[in-house]
Amino acid sequence: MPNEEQQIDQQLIQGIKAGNNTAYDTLFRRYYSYLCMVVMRMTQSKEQAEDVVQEVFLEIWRKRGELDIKNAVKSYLHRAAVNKTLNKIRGKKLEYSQEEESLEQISAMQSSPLQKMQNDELQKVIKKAYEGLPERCRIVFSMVKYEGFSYKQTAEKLEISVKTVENQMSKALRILREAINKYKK
Amino acid sequence: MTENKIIEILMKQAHSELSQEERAMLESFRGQSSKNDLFVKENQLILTNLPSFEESTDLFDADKALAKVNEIKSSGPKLITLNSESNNTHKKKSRSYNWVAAAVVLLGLGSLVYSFLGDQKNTLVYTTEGETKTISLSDGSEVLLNKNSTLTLADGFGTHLRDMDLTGEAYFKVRNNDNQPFTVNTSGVKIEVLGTEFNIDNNPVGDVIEVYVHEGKVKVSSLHSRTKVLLTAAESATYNKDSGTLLKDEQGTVNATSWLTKKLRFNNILLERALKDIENHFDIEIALDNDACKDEPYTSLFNDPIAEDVLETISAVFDFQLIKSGANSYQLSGGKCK
Repeated sequence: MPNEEQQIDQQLIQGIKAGNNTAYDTLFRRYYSYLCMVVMRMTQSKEQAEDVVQEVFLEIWRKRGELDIKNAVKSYLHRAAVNKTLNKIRGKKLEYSQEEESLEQISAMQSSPLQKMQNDELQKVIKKAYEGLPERCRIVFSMVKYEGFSYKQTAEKLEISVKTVENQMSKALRILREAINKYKK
Repeated sequence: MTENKIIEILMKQAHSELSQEERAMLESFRGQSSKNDLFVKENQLILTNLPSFEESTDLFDADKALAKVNEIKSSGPKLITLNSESNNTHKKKSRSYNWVAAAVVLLGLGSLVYSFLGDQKNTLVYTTEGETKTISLSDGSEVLLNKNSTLTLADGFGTHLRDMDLTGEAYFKVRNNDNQPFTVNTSGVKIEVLGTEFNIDNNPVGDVIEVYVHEGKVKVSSLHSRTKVLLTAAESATYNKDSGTLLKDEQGTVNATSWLTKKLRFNNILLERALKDIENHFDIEIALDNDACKDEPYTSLFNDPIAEDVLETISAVFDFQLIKSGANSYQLSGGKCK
C-alpha cells in the first residue's frame, strides 16, 4: 500500500499530466532541495546540482503527456537526477587530483585523541575529507555508498571496469582513513 | 587483492545482509592480524560517520529556481541550430567512410537541433546512451560525437579562436586554417591541429585518453608532465590519467574508429591487444584464462559484427571454450597456444 505522501505525489503527477501548473509547482517545491542534495553529494557543485534538477523538472513538463510513474514518485525523481548527473559527468572535465590539497586542509583542523573525539567532530573531519576527494574517486564512492549500486552496476553505469571501481573505492577509503589518522595525532 | 574484497563487503554491509560466505571472509580477515582488524574498524568508523548531507538542502532556494523554470517552461526550450546544408560534402566522402551514410540519415531526421540550458556563453552539444551526432562547425570543420559524450565550444569559436572541450569520444575532420589552430582540450591533454582527421577517446571516468590520427598532423601535449607527442597518419598516443604519462603507441590502433566504421580489423596483432579492441568496441569485458595465448598473433576482419560472432570465431581459431560470465562479460578458457 502506498503511504499518504506517495498518494499525494501520484495526484500531483495526474495533475501535471493534465497540464496543471499548480500541481507542477507543488511537486517542484516538495522535492527540489532534496534532489539538489542528492546530486551535490556526488558532484560537490551547487550550480551543477541546481542545473541538473531544473532540467529533470523541465523534462517532466515537456514529457508530461507520456509520464508513466507506477511506483514512488520520489524514487523516480531521485533516479532521474542520478542518471542525468551521470550523463553530465561524462560531459565534464573531471579534475585530475586534489589528494595533496585535501589532506593539507584536513591537517589544518586541530584535534584531540580519537577516543575523546566527539562524534560530530569526527563527522566534520570525514565530511571535509569526502568533499576533497578527487572527483573520479568521489563519484565512484558516492554511487556505491549513497546510491547503493553494486561494484558491477557502478562499473556499467560509468563505463569503466570493475577493477577501476575497486581501485577508486580503496583509494577513497585510504584518503578518508589518512584523514582521521592525521586528526588523531 | 584481499583488501579490495573486504572493502566491497563492508560497503555491502551498509545496505544489505551479508551472505554466510562474506561474513566468514570478513571474520577470517580480521582474525589474521591486528593490522587487519584495525583496517576493518577504521573503515567501519568512516562508513558509519559519513555525512548524510541532509542539512545541505538548506542551501537551495526552491522558489527562485521555480521562477526560473517556469519562465523557460512558458517560453519553450531555447533552440540552436548547429547545422544547415552540408549534405553535398557528406555525400562526396561517403564512398570511403561507412559512417558518413549514417550521418546523412541523421541529417534527414532533423536531429541536428539541440536544446540547451545553463551556461549561455559556451555552446554545448551532448549525446546520451546509444546516440551519435554529427556537428558541422561554423569554421567548416565537422565533428562526429559518439554516445555519452559532450563537446563544448569556447565563446567566440570560429571568430577569433577554434577551441573546445571534449569528454567522451569524437571523430574530428578539421578544416585547414593556418592562422587559427584547432584545439581540443580534455582532462589532461591538449590536442592541437592545423587540418586533419583524428579521433579522441576520453571516457571521463576511465583511466586513459586515446588520440588516433587518421590523416594529417596533430600535436598532443600533456597538461601535467609538459610532454608533447607529434602524431601523423595512422599513429596514436595514450595518456594515462593516473600516472600522467603520455606515450605514442607502439602497436597502431587501427580500431580506434571502429565505432564509426563498424569494422574490426586485426592485421597480425597480438591477441591481447585484439581482445582489448573488442572490449572497447562492444563495451564488454573479456577474461583470457590462458596466459600463453596473450602474445599469439591474430588476423581477421569483421564487418558490423556482434560480440558473440567475433568471440566464437576467435575461440574456433585458438580452441577456446567461450563462456558468458555476465551480462557484459565473457571468459575464454582453455585454448591451444605455443
